[in-house]
Amino acid sequence: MPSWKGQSRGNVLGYKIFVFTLKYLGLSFAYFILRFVAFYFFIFAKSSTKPLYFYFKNILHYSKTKSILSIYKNFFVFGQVLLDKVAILGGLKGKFSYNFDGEYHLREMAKNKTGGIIVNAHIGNFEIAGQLLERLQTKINVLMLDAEHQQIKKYLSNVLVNKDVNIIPLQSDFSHIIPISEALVNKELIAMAGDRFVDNSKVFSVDFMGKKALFPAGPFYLAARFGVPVTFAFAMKESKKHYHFFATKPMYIKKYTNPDEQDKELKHFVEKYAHEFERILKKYPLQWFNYYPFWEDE
Amino acid sequence: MENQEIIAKVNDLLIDEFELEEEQLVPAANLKETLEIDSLDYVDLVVIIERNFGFKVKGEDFANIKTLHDFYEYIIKHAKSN
Repeated sequence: MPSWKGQSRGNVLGYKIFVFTLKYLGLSFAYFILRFVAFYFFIFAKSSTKPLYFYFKNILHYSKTKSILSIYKNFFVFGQVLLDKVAILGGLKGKFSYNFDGEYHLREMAKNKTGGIIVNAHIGNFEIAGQLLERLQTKINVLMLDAEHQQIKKYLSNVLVNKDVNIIPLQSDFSHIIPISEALVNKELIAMAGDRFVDNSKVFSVDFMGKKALFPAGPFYLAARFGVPVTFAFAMKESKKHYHFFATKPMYIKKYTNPDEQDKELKHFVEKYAHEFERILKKYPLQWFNYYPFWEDE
Repeated sequence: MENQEIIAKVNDLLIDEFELEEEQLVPAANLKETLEIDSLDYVDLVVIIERNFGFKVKGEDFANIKTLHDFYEYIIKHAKSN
């Protein structure tokens, strides 16, 4: 898996169109328009369709026809997830229903002020979880790719409603480590993706969906270094207006002075994460939003 | 602390904490590419600087630290003004 270069699908114009449509025409109409937008991407977004085809054909072993159909469905679901995100960030939480598996664990982390790292992934709609978790009544920091962050935050700043969500931009010079360290010292919660990394990041190659893929050690090392628990959490779309939130029991990662022992411990937790990630992805295979070659032999 | 003392202390910490060899520690050495300081090491660097030199590292400082020389200069400047 090559390191992430800091570009994501979607831009400010896209968000403006989303907000306008949601505000004046409603979510159902926006979903209808989305069918055409998804078709446009299906035809023209070659750089995204190739890795998606690999995912459906070589990882999930779908037939050729089912793989091609699934690419279109994937774009459509991704668009829905973006629309939902804007709708929820814009204060339309009440229009959606949710159920939570493991919210108790996060509540305990917030109540006991242990701080901690919530490791998520680019599947489902984790950005909305930050908003949903406002009921924990604790500050949540979200580590986000800088290229996404600079443009989108600027535009969304006037529609954001939950001021307890603090966005930390992920930087190639690792300067994001400073606000992360401060947040963990202050025993706050930080949500970060465990499936992306920038150049020069420490990574481990582990089994994921039947093939080897690289995952960053960073989230797990931070947990070990600052003595905070780590939990794996995902927010998956189940129907038009329903989300299912999953969080695992918090775990503590040992800090070793011996680098080999430390690597062994970190790899063990990266494998645990990949295993949980795989379990959730197999339940919701269309909600895979890593539009670049993810596996090592891809 | 004099500049040479600070440089010696930085070198000692790099040797002890990151298992670097003394001969690798030349001022022109690039932290990421030559010394192979990775993202996890940066986490340790932040903690080590605060603990040993008594000042807090700021995120924006990272952009200007590319080589060991930059790193020495950075520590000298902040440790002395602290």
